[in-house]
Amino acid sequence: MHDNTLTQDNRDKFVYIAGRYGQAVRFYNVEQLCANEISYFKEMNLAYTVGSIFRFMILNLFPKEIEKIIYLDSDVIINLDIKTLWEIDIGDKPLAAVPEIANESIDPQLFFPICREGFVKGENYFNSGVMVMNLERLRREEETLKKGFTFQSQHPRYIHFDQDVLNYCFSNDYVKLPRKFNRLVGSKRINGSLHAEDRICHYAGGTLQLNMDEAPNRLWVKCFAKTPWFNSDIIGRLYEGIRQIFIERQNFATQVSAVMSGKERAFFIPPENLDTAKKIFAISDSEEIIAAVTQESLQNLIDSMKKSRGKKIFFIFVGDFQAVGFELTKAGFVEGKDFLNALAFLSDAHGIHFDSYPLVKIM
Amino acid sequence: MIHVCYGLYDKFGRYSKFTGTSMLSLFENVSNPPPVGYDTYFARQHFDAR
Repeated sequence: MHDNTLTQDNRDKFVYIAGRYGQAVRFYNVEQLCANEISYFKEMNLAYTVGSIFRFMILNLFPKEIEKIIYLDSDVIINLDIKTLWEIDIGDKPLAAVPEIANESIDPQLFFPICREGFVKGENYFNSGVMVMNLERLRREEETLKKGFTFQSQHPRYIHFDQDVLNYCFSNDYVKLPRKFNRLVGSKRINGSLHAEDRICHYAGGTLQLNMDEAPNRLWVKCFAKTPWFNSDIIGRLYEGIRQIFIERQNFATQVSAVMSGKERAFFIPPENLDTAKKIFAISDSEEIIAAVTQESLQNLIDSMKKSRGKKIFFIFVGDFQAVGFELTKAGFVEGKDFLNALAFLSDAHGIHFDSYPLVKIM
Repeated sequence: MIHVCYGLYDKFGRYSKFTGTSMLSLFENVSNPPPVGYDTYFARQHFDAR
């Protein structure tokens, strides 16, 4: 399924890949074939992106003879015979999917607002990146889906638009698949099980990296290198990407040097990271340290920053720098002048891995 | 026949690469590929749905 953003060149490449393996590819232009449905979404004033509504076009796009289909996100690599998924009997259930909780990376009950606020049970909330869809059943569920869209339009804060709609409609009525059919790579990284055998790897949330000591990364690059998109131009693009990262780092170092002029340092650190931070930053006993423990700690930080009146620069040593930075900015402080992300100074040597996803995007 | 679908919105030309890589991995792991000669007829025909 695609719209008019698919170029002829890319289309030819898809055909080429299919031809090499003796398979067939069929193109469905959603803009042309589902104009009425797209208008419906626009009229509902839903907070959707164009790509996020494609899943719902499936019901009207494909011929009635197609009663079942496997839907895949673009950021998955299939490292098993897809037949093993296709042959799972889902009976009359509308779909089969892997529950988010199976991947153990997040607690859906806490992470997804739709679960936190009681509309979907955390243990049932599924990831919609890999689904077996019973089209014969789903075609009878038009009213259910419309209720889901209405619900979504009333809750624009629920940002996982299509996934939340599907869960609102079917989280109590679907076949739960084993997690090997949608193994979130970020979760595997956290839980230390980084092999890629006999599973579908899902690189959601920019978790695809280029360090080749991780099996899921090697698997993706091995497949990408066999596609017609892999050519000599990539070397030039990677060079330019690395050069930009280097320039940004140089500029950052210069900026910090200038900002530190005439100022003292202070630190906002969780107690469990204190020893590490002291070692890395050579923090002396005379430098201020505020413990990052609770919401009250954040207020302590803000009070201290106001008291120091610009004579100190605060190094924020917390994982969720974005959230803290947001509050500090709200309080009138300026990042790069009053406070810095301490983790931006760290490297692989300190357990902070280089994020190579920007280079993946450049390729 | 197994039906697999992807959704592709590709304003910046990046997602075609991801989709193509995923599609290739799918085909690489099919245990019963089509018979020899199949590709010279069927696979060269790519269909536009009307």
